[in-house]
Amino acid sequence: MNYFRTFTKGLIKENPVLVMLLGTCPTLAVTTLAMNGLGMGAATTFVLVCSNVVISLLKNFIPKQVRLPSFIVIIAGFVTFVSFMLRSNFPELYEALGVFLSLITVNCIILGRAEMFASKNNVCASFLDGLGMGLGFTLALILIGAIREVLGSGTFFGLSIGDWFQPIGFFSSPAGGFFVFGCVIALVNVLSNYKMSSKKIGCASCPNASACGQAEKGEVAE
Amino acid sequence: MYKEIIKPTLVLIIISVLVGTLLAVTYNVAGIADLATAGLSQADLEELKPSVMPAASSLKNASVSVEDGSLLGVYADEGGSGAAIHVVTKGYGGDLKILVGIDANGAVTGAAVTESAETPNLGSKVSEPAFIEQFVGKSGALAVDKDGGEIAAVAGATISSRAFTDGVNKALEIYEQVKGEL
Amino acid sequence: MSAIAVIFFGAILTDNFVLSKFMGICPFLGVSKKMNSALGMSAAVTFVMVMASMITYPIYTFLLVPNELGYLQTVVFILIIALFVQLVEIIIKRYAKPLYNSLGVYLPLITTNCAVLGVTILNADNAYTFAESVFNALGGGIGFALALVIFAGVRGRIDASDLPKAFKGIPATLVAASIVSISFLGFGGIVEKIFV
Repeated sequence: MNYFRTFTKGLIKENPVLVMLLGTCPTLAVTTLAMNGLGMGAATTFVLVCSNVVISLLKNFIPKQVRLPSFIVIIAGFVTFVSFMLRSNFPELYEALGVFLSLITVNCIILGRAEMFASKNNVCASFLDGLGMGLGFTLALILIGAIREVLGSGTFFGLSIGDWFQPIGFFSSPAGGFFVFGCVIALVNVLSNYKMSSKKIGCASCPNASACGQAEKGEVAE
Repeated sequence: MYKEIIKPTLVLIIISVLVGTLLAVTYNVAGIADLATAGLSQADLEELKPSVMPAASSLKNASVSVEDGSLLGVYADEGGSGAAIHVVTKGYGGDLKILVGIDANGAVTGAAVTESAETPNLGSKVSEPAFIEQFVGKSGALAVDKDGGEIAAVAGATISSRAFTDGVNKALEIYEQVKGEL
Repeated sequence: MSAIAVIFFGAILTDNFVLSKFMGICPFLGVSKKMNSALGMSAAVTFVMVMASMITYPIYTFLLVPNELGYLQTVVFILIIALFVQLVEIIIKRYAKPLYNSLGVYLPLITTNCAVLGVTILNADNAYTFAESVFNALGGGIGFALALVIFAGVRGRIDASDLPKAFKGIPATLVAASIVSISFLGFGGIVEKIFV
């Protein structure tokens, strides 16, 4: 097992947001400001690393019938812990992230890594995998948040970029979120010379992938 | 039987109880409960005072008997010049919380937005002085120009402007009810 | 009554779960390719959202709040949702095979759909009554269906059009979602105006 590769694959090659298209809900919802993207990314990384480690430790102890409920309770526990920490130390960020802080629980990236990686690998590898994936998620959120903040509010991490620029409110709106996300993925396609473009929408490493495929196939059969 | 039903159930229960217990311990040790009920801190009030009640000497949390869903807190001026009322109204994007300063005669001395989810650069402009200054010195029931009132709404953000105006009206109403207790 | 109407129509139009709250984007993008799967997914999501709201309301109001355990809501809600979805899957697989074949395949997807956990948490955070919670969930589910069905139609047109290579596939889908989202922005303020 190459630990270095385990860590770095999440940053670019298998970036959870830009290449694997996981965790799209928080990616779109909280990225009106770069700072919110950073906060969301950090909170998710923490939960991802902790849950990967704990699930890797418990992998032989949890029977398969209750695997999903057990994983999700552990994840929800860490999410609640993070929300306590944000509430006492960063109340503004806590308010800004709102319901999406609790919704980290159902972020496909976390359950996806738990099912695909942590439940099959040792603690050390699971830790690095979680850290790499979390950082990749954070970088993508900061990128999208920065673009939307500069264009939509005329600021960068809260600092004004000058009066010459008239902010375009569209980029702060939900519609702007979809638009910027689409353009960033198009850019990734071009920069990677179409090697990294995800072939189809969906969740390659999502626990739902099989059900998704089943759902689509079920339609063909009809 | 044991392997198929009892063991999975037991494992799930053990995990849930463990997670719940650890969270309860953290919650109580870190004192999160106190944060939930706390209103504006003294530092917040100092920061807001110049824009809300420039004439006040010091704002202190006052307990009042009025029960109102939109009332978040009453902060009376120790110098007796009036009180700042913290209220919440429904804005365009979600809750809009505003602190309204009111003098002893029941007229607005100033106001500040303490929390808002309004659209940036549109509804969020209700927190700018140009809009808020219109309220200074006013009393009674206020309304935005679209509703036949004297407050000029922020262009393109009638709903946010209306929500802010409603909040000020609510604060004025509450002040009339509580001023005897201060 | 008007409060319920505002919550219900608000959840469908102005606060549409998919297009303005960004909840349930994965199935929105993944299952909106065909009208039939869009409808099946929406029906399953609506059912689970409403049932989850009905079950979590008494647990939150009569068990968690009186014991000052409101902070455990995320853990408790998601556990209930996960168990409920698994239970429904087992029951309909055993007793209603045709229903399982048309809706059952979508069920495993729903546990991790943010719209379901999201609606229960929003109900609790906004201190909705039982009726308000149920109508918020029902409106949210219908709004989800509306977004998916509109979008299934839009995607048919995207696939038929000649796009720059970089935008083919997901980027074009997201840009189209942006345009559909703009059209929903137009509903802002309407619901409150009609019913209040």
